[in-house]
Amino acid sequence: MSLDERTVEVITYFVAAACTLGIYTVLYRENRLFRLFEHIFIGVAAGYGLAITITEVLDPRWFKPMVTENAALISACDSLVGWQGASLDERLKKEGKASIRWDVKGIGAIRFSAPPSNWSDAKYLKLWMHSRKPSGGSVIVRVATADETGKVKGWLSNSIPIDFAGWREVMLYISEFSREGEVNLKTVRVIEFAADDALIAAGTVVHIDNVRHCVGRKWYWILALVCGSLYYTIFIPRFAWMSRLIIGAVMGLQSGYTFKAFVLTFYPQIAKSLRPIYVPGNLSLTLNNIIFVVTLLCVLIYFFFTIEHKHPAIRTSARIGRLLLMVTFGLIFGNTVMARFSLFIKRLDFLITQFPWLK
Amino acid sequence: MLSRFQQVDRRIIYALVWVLIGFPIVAPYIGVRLPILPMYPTRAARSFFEAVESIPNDKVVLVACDFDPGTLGENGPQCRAVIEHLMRCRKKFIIMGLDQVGPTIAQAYAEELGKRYGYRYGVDYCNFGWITGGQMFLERMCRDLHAAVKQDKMGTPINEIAMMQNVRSAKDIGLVVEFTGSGLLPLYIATFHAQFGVKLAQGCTGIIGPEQFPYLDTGQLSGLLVGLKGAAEYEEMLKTVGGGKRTMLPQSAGHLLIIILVLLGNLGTWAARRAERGMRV
Repeated sequence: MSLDERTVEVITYFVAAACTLGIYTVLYRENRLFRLFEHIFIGVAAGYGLAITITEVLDPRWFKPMVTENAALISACDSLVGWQGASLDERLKKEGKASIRWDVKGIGAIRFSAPPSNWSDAKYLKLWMHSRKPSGGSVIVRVATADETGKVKGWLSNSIPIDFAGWREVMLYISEFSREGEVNLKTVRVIEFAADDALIAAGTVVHIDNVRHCVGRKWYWILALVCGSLYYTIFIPRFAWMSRLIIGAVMGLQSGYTFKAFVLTFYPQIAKSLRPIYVPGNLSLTLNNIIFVVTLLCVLIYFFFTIEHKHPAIRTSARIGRLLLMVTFGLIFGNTVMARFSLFIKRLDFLITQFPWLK
Repeated sequence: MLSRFQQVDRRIIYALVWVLIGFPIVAPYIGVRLPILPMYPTRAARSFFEAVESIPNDKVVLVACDFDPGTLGENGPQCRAVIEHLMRCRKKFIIMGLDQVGPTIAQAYAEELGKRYGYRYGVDYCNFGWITGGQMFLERMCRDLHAAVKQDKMGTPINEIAMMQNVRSAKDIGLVVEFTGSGLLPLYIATFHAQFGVKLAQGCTGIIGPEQFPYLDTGQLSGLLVGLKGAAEYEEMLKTVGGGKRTMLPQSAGHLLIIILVLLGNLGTWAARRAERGMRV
């Protein structure tokens, strides 16, 4: 049984409206209906969080790299974006929607000019290649790399003997490529497929599909699971000390980053706090700066708890600082009221404007 | 008598809020025409608008949607208005988020507005989805975007996305706009702004609004939209009526109610104290 779009829309509206109104029943008093919807909300949020963590993080970024070859796609060969000199063949393909068709007799070389630039982790290049008939020739694979200015300075090259008919998965180790010039695998620019004379003479048509560079299976990433599991040793008193290892490591890492972020974020603010209290010819800026500096000093004095606020100058400044803080809290309260109303308006707007028979 | 204002049943206040806020929303459906309140964009909102207008055409915009349905009422209209502006200016943009749901919400806005402005996924905008790793990830992204993000939200490899061919690092990003209800701004400041000189603008909730102004003052932020009012100001500059401007009347009605209630509460306190003093005398 399949439901039409309108029915789904109506059901969705009423489920969402019931949830909203169920939660709002707490405005009258604490009740079971509110608790039911509160628990539904917590359950849905936790379930969604877990599902999205698995599907968008753990599976693609940890599990797959560990159990698969960790291939970075250079080209799926499903479109001609980035390809020059080739055509698309949607009938003869190994994977996806199409493959790249290269008539060797007509064009001696084809290029792909949009590869991922960073190949520094790659161990081998892998692709599917199809030949109509075996020949004595080869396809020369050339990879151009550039320097920091973007100018091509180095080449990697290797050859694939076309001694087969049909599809074959070709694997070329980066370490086995011959090198010319200054090769920098962090700035790969172009991949070129060129036919040698024997292949051109044989006049075959070559198809290329699913070109990727691979790191290989990162089996050692299982260590991440081991490290993560150390957190749970806290529940076993005998091994609880192990949890400190991982907690210490994460804290150290995070502290380093936090310190760096603190300096980069707040240093400019400290520097900008040192303002001239008199700006010649600019009365409004002068007034602004005076208010800023007075506020800053008074609030700082208020938070000096190591000295007793007895001296009239200190006492008065601290009192002004406290008043200014109260003004700030009032401002924050006003903004909080505005924020809470906005959230309520959004729900009420949904209940009214999305009502299926009003739209 | 006046001291009774201190003991008003909270349910009466809730009922008043429902009526005052609900009526302006229901009014158009029962034939009552209410005005749309005029908006006067603040300097912070104008700076945001100008920052978007001044992005070079060869650079893309990073739309960081670090919010969830909990703050959708404020961040949603802000995000929608800015995406509409980007589309009007024909700027290419990337959606991503350090929150799980934000990028999905922004994708819905982009798809809806994209039909009107002829924006195509992959050509004019793309979505990286939920990003984990915080500051460490952002730093890596600034240095080598293709190494940090391998695929988009739908699983398409980044190098297969047409608009990403020439976007390689932070130097290809003209502006980062962040929408959030939490304090994630320092992560972007410490990476995009401080280390790579990329301009930042933010749309935040009303609660954290006052905390963000120092960043605007130091130039770390190029623009700021605070709460639903920020969205309404942006819509005013875009000369459009969306979720911001349309809801300014119920918002103002609610604020008016709170002002009256605060005054009545204070009046009640004053009356109670006066009565107490009278009894003592």
